[in-house]
Amino acid sequence: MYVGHIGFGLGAYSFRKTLPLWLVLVAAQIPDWLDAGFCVAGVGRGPFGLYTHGFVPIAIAAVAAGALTFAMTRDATGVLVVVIVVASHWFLDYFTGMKPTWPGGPVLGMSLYAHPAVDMLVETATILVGWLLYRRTLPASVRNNRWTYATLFALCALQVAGSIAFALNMGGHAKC
Amino acid sequence: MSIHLVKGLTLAAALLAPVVTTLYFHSRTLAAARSKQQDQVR
Repeated sequence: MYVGHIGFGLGAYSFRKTLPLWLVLVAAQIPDWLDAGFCVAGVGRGPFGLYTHGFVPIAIAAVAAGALTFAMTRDATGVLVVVIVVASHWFLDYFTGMKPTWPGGPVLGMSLYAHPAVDMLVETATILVGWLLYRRTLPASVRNNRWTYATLFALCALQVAGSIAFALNMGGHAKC
Repeated sequence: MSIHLVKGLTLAAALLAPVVTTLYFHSRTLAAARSKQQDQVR
């Protein structure tokens, strides 16, 4: 999943809008940032991304992000929201790809990346639901503001661009 | 430049794009809300 993670983050933010928005959005992407870091470092991601998208690294990332959130906010509910956001990554990726579980465990997923149009619909729907929840956190005076709608349209545009890139196999299925 | 570095940086840019976009529009939205609030005070 690509921008759908940001959609989920926006939706989660609506349950704790005292959290820094950047923290929730980055938390939603942590395993993918690990991919980017491993890639730059020239380190293998393991079979099916086991070292970045398996249950163990996601659990470690969730604990680390929760600890960072607690250090920044002293807000137990905020910590819970961030931990759920980090853990959500695996479940959202389950729809779009084939994801590892634990060493020697099964690789699970619906592989919607093989059907870019369906993937785009699922991700766009996730973005829309998240944005609708996020919009409720805004003052009533700006809920219909052009910048509020620009957020939705820009995220959808990025997702469409990403889906086209996948459809043309520009991104490739091997991230690194 | 190695292919791994190029792919990693491309992935990082792709990840950063929706985050930066969202934060930018979020800040503009909040600025618009503050502006409207100040107008009402006046």
